[in-house]
Amino acid sequence: MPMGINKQTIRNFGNQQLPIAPLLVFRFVFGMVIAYGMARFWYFDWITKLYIEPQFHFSYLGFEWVKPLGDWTYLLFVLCALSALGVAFGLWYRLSASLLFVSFTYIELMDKTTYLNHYYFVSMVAFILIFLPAAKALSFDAGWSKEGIERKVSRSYYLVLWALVSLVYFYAGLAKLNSDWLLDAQPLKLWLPGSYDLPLIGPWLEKEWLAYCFSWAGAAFDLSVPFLLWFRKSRPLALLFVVIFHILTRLLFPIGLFPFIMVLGAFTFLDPKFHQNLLQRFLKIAPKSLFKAKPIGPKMTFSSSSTFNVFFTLFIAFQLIWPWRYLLYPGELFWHEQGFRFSWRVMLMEKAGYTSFRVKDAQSGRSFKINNSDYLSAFQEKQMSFQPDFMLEFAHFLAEQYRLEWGHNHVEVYVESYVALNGRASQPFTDRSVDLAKEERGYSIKKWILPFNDTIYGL
Amino acid sequence: MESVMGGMRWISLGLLLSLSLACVEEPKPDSSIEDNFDRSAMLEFWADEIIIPAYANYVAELEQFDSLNQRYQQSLSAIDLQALQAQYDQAYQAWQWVSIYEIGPAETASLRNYTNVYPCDTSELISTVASGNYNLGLPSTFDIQGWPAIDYLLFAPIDLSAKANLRAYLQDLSQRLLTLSNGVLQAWQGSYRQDFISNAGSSADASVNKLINDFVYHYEKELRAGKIGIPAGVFSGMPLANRAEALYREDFSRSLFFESLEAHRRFFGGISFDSLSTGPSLNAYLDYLKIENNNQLLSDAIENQFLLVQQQAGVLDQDLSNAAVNQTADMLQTFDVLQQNVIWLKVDMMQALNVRVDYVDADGD
Repeated sequence: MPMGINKQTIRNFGNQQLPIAPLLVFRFVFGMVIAYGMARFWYFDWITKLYIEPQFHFSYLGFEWVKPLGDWTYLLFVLCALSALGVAFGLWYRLSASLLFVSFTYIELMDKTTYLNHYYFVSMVAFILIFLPAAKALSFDAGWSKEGIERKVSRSYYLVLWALVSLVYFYAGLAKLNSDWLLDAQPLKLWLPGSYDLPLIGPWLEKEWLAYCFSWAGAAFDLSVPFLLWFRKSRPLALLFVVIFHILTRLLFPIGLFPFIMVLGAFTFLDPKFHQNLLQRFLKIAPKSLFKAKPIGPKMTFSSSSTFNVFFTLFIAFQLIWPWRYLLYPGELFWHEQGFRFSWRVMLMEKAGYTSFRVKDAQSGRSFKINNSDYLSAFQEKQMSFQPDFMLEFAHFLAEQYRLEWGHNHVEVYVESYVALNGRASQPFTDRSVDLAKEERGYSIKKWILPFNDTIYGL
Repeated sequence: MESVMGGMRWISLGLLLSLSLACVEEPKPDSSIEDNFDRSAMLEFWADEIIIPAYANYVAELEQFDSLNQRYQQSLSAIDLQALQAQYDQAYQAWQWVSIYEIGPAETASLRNYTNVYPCDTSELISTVASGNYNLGLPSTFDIQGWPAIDYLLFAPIDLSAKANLRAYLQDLSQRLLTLSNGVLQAWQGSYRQDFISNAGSSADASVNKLINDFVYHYEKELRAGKIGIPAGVFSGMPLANRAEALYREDFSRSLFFESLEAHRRFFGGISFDSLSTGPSLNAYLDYLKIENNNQLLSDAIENQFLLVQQQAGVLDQDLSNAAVNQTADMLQTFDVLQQNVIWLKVDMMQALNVRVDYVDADGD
């Protein structure tokens, strides 16, 4: 070990006190963005379309019990929005943050059709927020005293957020180090021309060299931005990159709230003075009556407990390791997708499939095809048609339907699937002779997925 | 310190800018932007050389049908009935050329549902007519109107000349088809043509996206499943002879299938309705993007597959309800040959053209 770096040094580094201001700003904007996100879900009628209309929902392993709650689902979204506002304004903060984490995560677990990496990110941040002293000033809980801005908290609280944000970028960058992305500029070569009608940049988007530029620049951005953010000198440059990058992705892709949240995350790296200025300006325009109550001493500090430090060190360690689980599965990750989710693999693939099921009554020998749309929404069918864990779960659902209908257990389900990945021609995806009713769900290797007849080099 | 604060101000400005830009929900399409594959020209070709002529032809056949119907209603002569039955063939075939284009006015009017939901629920039809009380604008009446109902009235052994109420009903059905289709044609000849062509953007509800979705949907659900798969028993495990098209006319359903297949083939290949000219369509678009499939152009693979379907369906009985029972294996084989093009159209083509399957437009990441 290099001299001077020992347990004590690390502890001192983590325990050093930093101004609370960036945490306050983060808490407020994060809460507001999530509340807005919930309203947006309601406004676009996605609650009905995604969670109430479909008669069947795709579950995550181990979370089959998490289902939409019928009309009460709306209440769940209201609860989530209210708890997000509770976080934003620091009202019953610990309770609000806990409710936000639970309700948001519940919503995401209801149907994996809607899985997005940034929803997972929001869940993780909401979880971390439960344990941060983010409402210890300028909040309903702690009062609105101006002096509150001067309070301080341990650096370890920031370290958790910074580590997670850095990890998201860096792992997203690592995932781009493959031959499809770097050598073929896929899937951007397919996607960019689709926005040809954007003003100004539109006409350029069909140029092949631009897809290469974007691919390489995107990978370089993801890999370098965490480091640029950590060092004071390069921070303004990093922020500039972050803002440009997320404006571009927002314009080019239907990407929802992700850009807001990542820009917000990057801003926690900034000099606390920036946040203090921001808050002071806010205090000038806020109603004076707010600040009469509860003048508490400005010198308060909030130190992280050693339990916090140990737990979140393990948390980050888990985040570092978990994305590599795909190495345990043979074959091409992009093809079989075993270990693909929860790994910050963002916008890496253009994948589409056509998948149909045949149900067979093994007693009479009679068999027929299923009309997927009898059971699935168009969105569910689209997602199911190229993701093997969806296929398996749907096959089991069909088997159960027909077991009930026929009153016996001799139900076999076969799947025929064709999938196209990153502009390649479609090819057979599954072994048509395997009875999926007999295959178990789980982490074991899905042998009924046919091998990918091409090679993608890299990570 | 001063420079840091300067940087901060600059960054705040950047944040503000990013937030305000990010708030722009959908960029507005602008058709005037130069584009190497001219989608507007494709839309114009589709509208002027394929869709509008097909509707004009269909409406003309319907007008002829309606006037022959009126003549028969007055004379009740066997000769006039024969003429009417013959015109049924013409008009029903003409319908197959417009059925694909359920977009704009046709979509608003639910034209396909009011024209060709089969099989006809004949007992419901009889009781409805007997009650004398019906509203053909209700979705619950889809399966007692349109060509399947006319098929029953003209060809089932019911002695139409002796049943005034059924004849009156036939009159209503004929008039209704004419009104609906004429409305669609007039919309296309009026302002809708311009709406369709100028909506040349890339959003999910732009014309190119929508019509490709409609085309692929029609191929999969109406041609592959409706005309072949369902009667062949693909979805039931046993042949369902009574689910074929034109059940009472007999010996006609294969002809309707061929008409529809040819309409799909020509649309894909950019062949005008009168087959006298060609223009930019899906095959040209794929070729422009140099999309290949196993060392041949994807467009060639798809066009060849259309011909294979034609060949395979050639062995079937002219009456697909007979074929479903007596040539089940051939029907299933036809289904499989049709199926290959579903994969190429829906997976390979739509991915290559970056066309979103129309579904709830949720976020991506």
